[in-house]
Amino acid sequence: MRDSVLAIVLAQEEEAGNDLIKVVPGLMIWTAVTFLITFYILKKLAFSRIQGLIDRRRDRIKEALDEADNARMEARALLEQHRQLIAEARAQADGVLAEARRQADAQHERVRAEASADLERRLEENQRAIAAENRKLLEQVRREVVELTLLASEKVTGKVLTADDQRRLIDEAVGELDFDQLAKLN
Amino acid sequence: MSPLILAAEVFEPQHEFRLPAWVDLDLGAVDLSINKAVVYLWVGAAITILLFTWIMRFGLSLRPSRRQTAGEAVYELVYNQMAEGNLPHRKAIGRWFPYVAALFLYIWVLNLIGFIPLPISDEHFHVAGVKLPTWGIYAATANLSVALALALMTFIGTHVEGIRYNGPFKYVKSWIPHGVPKFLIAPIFVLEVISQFMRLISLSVRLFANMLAGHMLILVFIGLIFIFQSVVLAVIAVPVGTIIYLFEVVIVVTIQAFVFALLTAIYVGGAIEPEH
Repeated sequence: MRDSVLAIVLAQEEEAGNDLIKVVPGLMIWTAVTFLITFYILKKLAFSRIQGLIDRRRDRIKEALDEADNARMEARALLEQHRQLIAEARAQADGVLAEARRQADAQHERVRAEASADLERRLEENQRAIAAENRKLLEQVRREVVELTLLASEKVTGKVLTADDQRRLIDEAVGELDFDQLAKLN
Repeated sequence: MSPLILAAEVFEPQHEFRLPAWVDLDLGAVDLSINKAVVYLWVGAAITILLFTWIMRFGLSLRPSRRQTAGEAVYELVYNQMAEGNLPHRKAIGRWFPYVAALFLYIWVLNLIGFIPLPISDEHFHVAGVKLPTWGIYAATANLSVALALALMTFIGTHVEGIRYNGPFKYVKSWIPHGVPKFLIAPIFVLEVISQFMRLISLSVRLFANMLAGHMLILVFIGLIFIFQSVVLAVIAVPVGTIIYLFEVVIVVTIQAFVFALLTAIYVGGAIEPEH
């Protein structure tokens, strides 16, 4: 039974097989015509339009990329500029600080020098005042010594001394006094 | 005669590929009769034009919709994978890309509608006295004449372009590799001429045979159920037939269209710049 079926199918295949591989010029012409019409219409209506759109989008993307590049370069330039500004500001601040320090040091030095000079001046003034006071005291002591000497001499001798006697006695009395000791005692 | 033999006689899958004339049209010696294959070519052309004009022309925007994205994806697939990689320069791409793209889309649609049941058939059935065509599957590309015509256009275009770019002498000379001894030039030239014609045959037979085999397999597996009138067989035949159907629709349909268009781009590119 299977052989019979196979025989029938094979016979049909053989009969129709020629149709399957037969080249039909008319069908080839129809194929070429329909394809060429399809090709022409797609080329005119579809491909050109979508290619134009893709080109436009490519241009837009290129423009956007260029803009992004420019913006990035601009941002970099601004950043560089800001860095420079910050560096300059820092340099200026450092300068101002150094100047302030320098001025403060100078002020400090000047004040110290002035204080020192003032101190020395005061010391000198004090020393001068002390020396003057010493001299005044010595003079006073000398006068009192002379007066006492004269008074003692008049009482001892019982006579009024001449000017020459007074001068001689004064010189002798003063000569015997140690004024340095007196100054030290003061 | 047994019922099995009768069933086998009734079931003739190859008859799906017979092309009786529906409208007789003779142009001299050429028979231009309209038959099922011609109608499928028209339907395929109409679908190709309407579908791809719709998705590649209307409502286009720089921010694409899903439809436009699909159109651009198809367009760029052909442009990047076929034209740009195989045609040597922008001038050649500009001239040949539309042809390659149209070829791919047209063959793809013809292949695809070949697996969709359509009421385009020689056979009819009656519903309430109204004669209606039987729904069936048929692929125009499963016909050798259709595949051969498409291959022949590529064949002619390839050599015309090769001669146009290089001149006839340089183009034919480019078929012979450099450094071939003189005594081998003649036999190699003959082999090259044969290989050029073999391209025509391989291009057409590859498409035709693949599509025909797919259809025959599906028809045979489904037909087995009716021949043997067995539900048990249907348990095997229907899934296998479905798998073959899906394999054909998802893979073979696209691959065959892609290969045909890709080889066209390669042949044309090779003819324009033979050293490549």
